[in-house]
Amino acid sequence: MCTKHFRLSVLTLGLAAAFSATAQTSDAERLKALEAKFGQSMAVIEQLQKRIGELEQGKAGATSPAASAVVNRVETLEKSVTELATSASKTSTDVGLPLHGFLDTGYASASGKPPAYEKSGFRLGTFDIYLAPQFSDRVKGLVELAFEYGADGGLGTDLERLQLGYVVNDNLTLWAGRFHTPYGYWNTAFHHGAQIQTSITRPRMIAFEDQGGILPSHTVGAWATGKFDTGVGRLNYDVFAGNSDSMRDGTLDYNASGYNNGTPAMGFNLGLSPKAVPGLTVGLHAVSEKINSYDALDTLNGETTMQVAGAYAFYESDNLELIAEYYNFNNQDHFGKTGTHNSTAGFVQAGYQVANRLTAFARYEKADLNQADPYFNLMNLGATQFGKSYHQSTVGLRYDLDPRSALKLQLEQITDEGNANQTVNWLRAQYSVRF
Amino acid sequence: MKARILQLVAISALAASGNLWAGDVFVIANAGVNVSADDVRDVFVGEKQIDGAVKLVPMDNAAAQADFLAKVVKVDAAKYTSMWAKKGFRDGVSPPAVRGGDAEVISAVKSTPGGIGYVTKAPADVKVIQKY
Repeated sequence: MCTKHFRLSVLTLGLAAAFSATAQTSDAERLKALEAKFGQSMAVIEQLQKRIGELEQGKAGATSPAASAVVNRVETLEKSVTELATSASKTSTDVGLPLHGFLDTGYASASGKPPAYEKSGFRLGTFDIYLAPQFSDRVKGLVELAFEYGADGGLGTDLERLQLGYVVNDNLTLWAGRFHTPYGYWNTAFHHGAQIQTSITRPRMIAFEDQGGILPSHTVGAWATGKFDTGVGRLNYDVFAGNSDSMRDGTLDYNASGYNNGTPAMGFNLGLSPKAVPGLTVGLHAVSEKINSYDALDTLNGETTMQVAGAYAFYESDNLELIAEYYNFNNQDHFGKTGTHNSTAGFVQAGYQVANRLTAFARYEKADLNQADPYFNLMNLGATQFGKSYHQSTVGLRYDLDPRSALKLQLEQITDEGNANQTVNWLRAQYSVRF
Repeated sequence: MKARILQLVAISALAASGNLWAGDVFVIANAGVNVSADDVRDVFVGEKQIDGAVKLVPMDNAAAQADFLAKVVKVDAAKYTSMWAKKGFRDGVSPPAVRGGDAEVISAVKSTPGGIGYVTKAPADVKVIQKY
């Protein structure tokens, strides 16, 4: 069946081919016409090629301005972004002077018989603000103002610091004005910054002058500070000279407007931060000044060269903080001419981060103050009687709510010669912030 | 099989802790700044403020700060903030301004005399002090 169909198909195709060939060879004119048509077709093709070329050229010519426009827009945008960023960077440094400070409030409760000057109950702490203007690359300032309520409930306002400085280089900065007297570690590191110090209270031996302090915690004068890198480690130094304090009604007065006895206060602080123990600083310090004392009627009742020298150490790691300070007084009595009197005071404090945000701390402090020394004896004319010996143990917990605020709880036991050697226990709480 | 699962769990834990794929940090500076890599930490904790005649202007980069603090300053963000709070209070030195990201830091460093900052990718047209 298949073979028969194949044969028929071959026969049909053969007849058709034979007919076609016969027709072409017999018509020469038709061949010429075909040649003419071919020539025309070639001309059309050439025209089309030419047109395509023109179109392609036209296309290229049409897209070039568009691409340029895009490039221009990108360049403009880039320029705008750069200008905005530059403007933003300038703005961030030119928006004015940042105001920083500290604020705290708290509660204290005593068991036993506390001295009259200290009561149990809720209390306002200190509202402390400070500014650090940068007048130029080298010239800067530091202004600190504190508002605090005293034990008598009166509001005290104190221009804590008013310093103008000049940065000579990284090794030397010169300051003039009223500054925190650079002895030990605590006084310059924390001072009124309740939130940045681990405990609620500062050691009593370095209490502020207006709270019965036995050391001048501020000086009006000039101060050179800086550091040098040595083979052993970094050497930090402070050297200062200023107005000698006077004592009025048992309270040290920093004499903002000049000497009252013609002699300057002088001192230094030299600290070494060894490379071998990162976080550790050990140092020596000394202060010397002639202090005149006056009674309530402004009558001279004492004239002492207060000379204190000592040592300190500070260590800080991720979870441990250690602070120790020691003071050795050798005060010379010029008024009663009773000679030189020796007294000592010191404290050691440890803080350990026991859990995330939670730090436990403990402190022991002790002062043996010679009551034959009129410098300390006359201090007891004041309300606080901090010129007398005492020893105190403190334990507490600090919880950081966030990096800028802390809740603290503290237990103290103090035995105070100024309080008839009674032992009094204190429970204190504090909520402190910085901004 | 168990060993492979444990291996995967360990790798995942490390990755989650952020230690495994911490990115590179490039410390960059304005063309006029000549501090060495050894000075970078001191610059960012306020211990080095002057470079020759130039007042240094360090800048933090919010997008790369965690890596930078871990690799260069060797403290966490909370400690860094605390260090600057104490430094600012004692010495009257302001902490580095915080920029939002690489582009902002690069722009500010280029346009600020004494500018020094850090970024996650090294730009071609800014001085690179050190890669960490």
